[in-house]
Amino acid sequence: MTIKYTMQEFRLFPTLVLQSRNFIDNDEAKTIYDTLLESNEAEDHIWLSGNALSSSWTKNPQVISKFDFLTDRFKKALQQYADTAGLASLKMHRSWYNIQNKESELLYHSHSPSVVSGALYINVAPGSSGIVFHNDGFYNRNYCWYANGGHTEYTQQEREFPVETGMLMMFPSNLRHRGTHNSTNNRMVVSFDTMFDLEEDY
Amino acid sequence: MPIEHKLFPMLMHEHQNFLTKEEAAVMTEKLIELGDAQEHVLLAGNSTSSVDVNQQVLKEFPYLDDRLQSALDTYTKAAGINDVSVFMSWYNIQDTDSQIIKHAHPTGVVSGVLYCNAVPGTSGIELQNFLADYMRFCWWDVTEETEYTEETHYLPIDVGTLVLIPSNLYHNSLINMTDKRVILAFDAKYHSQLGY
Repeated sequence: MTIKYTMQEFRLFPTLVLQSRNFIDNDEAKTIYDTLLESNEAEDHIWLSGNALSSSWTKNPQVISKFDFLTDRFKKALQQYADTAGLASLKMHRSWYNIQNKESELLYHSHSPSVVSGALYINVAPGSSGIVFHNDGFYNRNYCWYANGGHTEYTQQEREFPVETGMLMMFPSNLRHRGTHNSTNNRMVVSFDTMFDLEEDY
Repeated sequence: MPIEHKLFPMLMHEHQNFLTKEEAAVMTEKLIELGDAQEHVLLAGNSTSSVDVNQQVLKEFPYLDDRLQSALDTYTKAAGINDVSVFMSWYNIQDTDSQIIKHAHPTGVVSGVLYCNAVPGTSGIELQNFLADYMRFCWWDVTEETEYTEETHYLPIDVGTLVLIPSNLYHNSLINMTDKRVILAFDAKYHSQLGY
């Protein structure tokens, strides 16, 4: 007897990453790069190994406020993320920049206690590190690498994205991430955290 | 427009009409006739399970072996993991106002459930998003439930449906509002894990 049944495939509980290429053009990137380099606010940071510096939040927690031309664009991008995810509106509450030279690496971390975080790539040359997201469900699974028959979105421990100048990546702040090994000088990224844009902040 | 990436989902397969209505009726009758189900810590209300006393229920239905293996093969191929086979199976019988409490199957790789008897009003399966505990937003921050914000995913079911999930995925039923909700559940593990 032949049984005819229909199958439906569900991809449950994914994590949303939004990637926008050319969020800024090369001229804008150059302006931001020159301004931040001149500000000289970056210093060593525990999450950066090798020859790399971060402005973190210690000297200037509002790096993006230097660039008025980005204000509306970021508002729109944050609203796109919120609408796609089904979240209330978001607003930026802190931003900083990192600058990495050869043989440096951004170590695994997440951004607490924010909601959505992002990275805007200001100066990225071929050989500059990309961004890698960690699957926090990986160690909860009942199978291990030696029992994987193939590499799929269901088995991957990490997902790597190459990046380029002008690209914006946005992701949940609790999603752990790192950079791959960086092999270029003056790789610059501006990062930010957001919180809900509530009418009555408290 | 930005590119939307959906990272690290969990795979569920639903096979509708995996059993014909006639097969499901025969299985229901047979499982009730077995009569070895008893109370279980994961079942609330008027309900019983064979899981502690009879873990090889599928041997009663050898004509399902090839069909189930084919469904499991489809699942493991899609997931990108090695082949698995069923190593234990049991059945549950639930009456009105009963519920399967949230749980996972720690010894399996892929788990499945076959719905043998379900009338309208019978509870389907509810899957739990373990990431909900880590997300930095709560229900009042959510303007619309999407695949990114849902804490649970509910799948209504019909008689004859087969559902396959990763064994580590927590799941439960809602409160069951019908008599004689009968399911056959099973765990599968890698061929290399079988036999010792």
